[in-house]
Amino acid sequence: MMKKLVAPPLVVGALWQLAHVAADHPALPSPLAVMGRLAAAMWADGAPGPLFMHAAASLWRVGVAVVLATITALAVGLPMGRTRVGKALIRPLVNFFFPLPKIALLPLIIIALGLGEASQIVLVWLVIVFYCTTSLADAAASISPEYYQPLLVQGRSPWALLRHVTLPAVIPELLSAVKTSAATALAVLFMAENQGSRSGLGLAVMNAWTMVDYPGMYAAIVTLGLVGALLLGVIDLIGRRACPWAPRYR
Amino acid sequence: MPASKAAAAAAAAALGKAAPGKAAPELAVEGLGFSWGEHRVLDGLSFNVPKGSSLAIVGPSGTGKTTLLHLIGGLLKPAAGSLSLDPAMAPLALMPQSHGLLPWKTLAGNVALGAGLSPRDPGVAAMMARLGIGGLARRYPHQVSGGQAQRAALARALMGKPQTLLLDEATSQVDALTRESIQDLFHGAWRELGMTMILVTHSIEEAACLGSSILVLGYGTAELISNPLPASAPSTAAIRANPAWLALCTRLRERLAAVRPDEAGGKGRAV
Repeated sequence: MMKKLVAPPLVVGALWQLAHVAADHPALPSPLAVMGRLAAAMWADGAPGPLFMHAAASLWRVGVAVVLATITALAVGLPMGRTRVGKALIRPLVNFFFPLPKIALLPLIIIALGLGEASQIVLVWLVIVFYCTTSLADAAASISPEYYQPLLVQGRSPWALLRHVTLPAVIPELLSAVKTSAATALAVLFMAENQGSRSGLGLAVMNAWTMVDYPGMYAAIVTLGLVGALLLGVIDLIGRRACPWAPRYR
Repeated sequence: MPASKAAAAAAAAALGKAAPGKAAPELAVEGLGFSWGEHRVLDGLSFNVPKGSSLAIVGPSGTGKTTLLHLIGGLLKPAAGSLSLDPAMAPLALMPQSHGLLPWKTLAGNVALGAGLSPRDPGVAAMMARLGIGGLARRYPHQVSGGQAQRAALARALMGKPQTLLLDEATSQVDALTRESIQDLFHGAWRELGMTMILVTHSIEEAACLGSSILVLGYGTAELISNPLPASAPSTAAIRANPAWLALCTRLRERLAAVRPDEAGGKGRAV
């Protein structure tokens, strides 16, 4: 466990140090300088530093957007995958909106919701919700009929079918979609936080860059990666606890 | 031979045993027809299954065995004809082809689902112990053998106290030795519980062991053969030891060999 956590940063750090020495340019500071800066900006004088606040702001936005996208995917994706009406009406709509570039809607969202939390969360939600919904619909559509048949012969309620078959069957696929989405969400948030945001790692990176504060810029980028790793790790942990039966978590 | 004539004769024989005046409970199939799109799989099929008997359905692939089972289970609606099940033969339970256990539930969870109980209900443990899988309550289906999964699937089906048990090739996924022990389990449960059993099978031996009547489905044809062995013998081993069983197997094999797709043509169906 420790080996797994310690070895990758050491390898990356060593390569980084080599590149730093070879490049000999202020735009590529040494990893130790960046780590020192990261530690100081995260926690100083016994209180959370500015970088910590930025990370918390980004994590909150991604978290809310991912939870909202999951709820939307369940509400829209399940009928889209399993009902005739859903297949006929919802799927074409989702297919239409899925490929549209959501970032192009940012000005529209800002006009509607103003600058701030809401518009950033809505943008991230828009980017990931179609992917989550489509994945979930496909997972729901490919559930083996044999899982339903014994319950149908007994005349069990639609609620029993949903609770015992459909929902548990799609959870691994849902978590997989959420994981991919969370990573995408962080990347999109980086763009959104550049547009009139007062907090967030995207802002921290851009601020440091404009002030030619390279260690500060790298510290924010590394923090972005750490936030992503934390988020994906937590989703994997949930998967292992919730679906010990699923082939990918066995 | 047309399905209706053979079945009518069998039905008359079955009804003849019933008490006069009041008709015995039965599953009555009348002129049943079903198509998958343009492909007609069942046509003018009629037969009766008295309560407490067992019916084995055999026939080559594509003759509508599973379709017929699903029609009886109410999973499909007949395109023609009727299918009426006496209320005394409800509730039903189905064991699908590859056991159909839910991978996300433990064996106890799957068995409990058969009666809508909690996996910790003592009734679940008792049923599992009875079917010889008492120690496997907390295992998931992927952690047990094929035979153990079949036992769990039977336990789940029996939890609902079915009066009619539908089995869809329930032993096709396990090895030969396990198959005989599972067949013995079905035979024992059928004799003990007095329920009606309707099973689809690819195996002539299994049909001759478990079916008190055997429906041989062809492409648009059907024939009902009665078989006294399952009701009279204490175990499937005893049935297999009976020369009459071997004779029946031979007879069934001849009947099935005679069924060929090119013989179809009755009532304009295309194969």
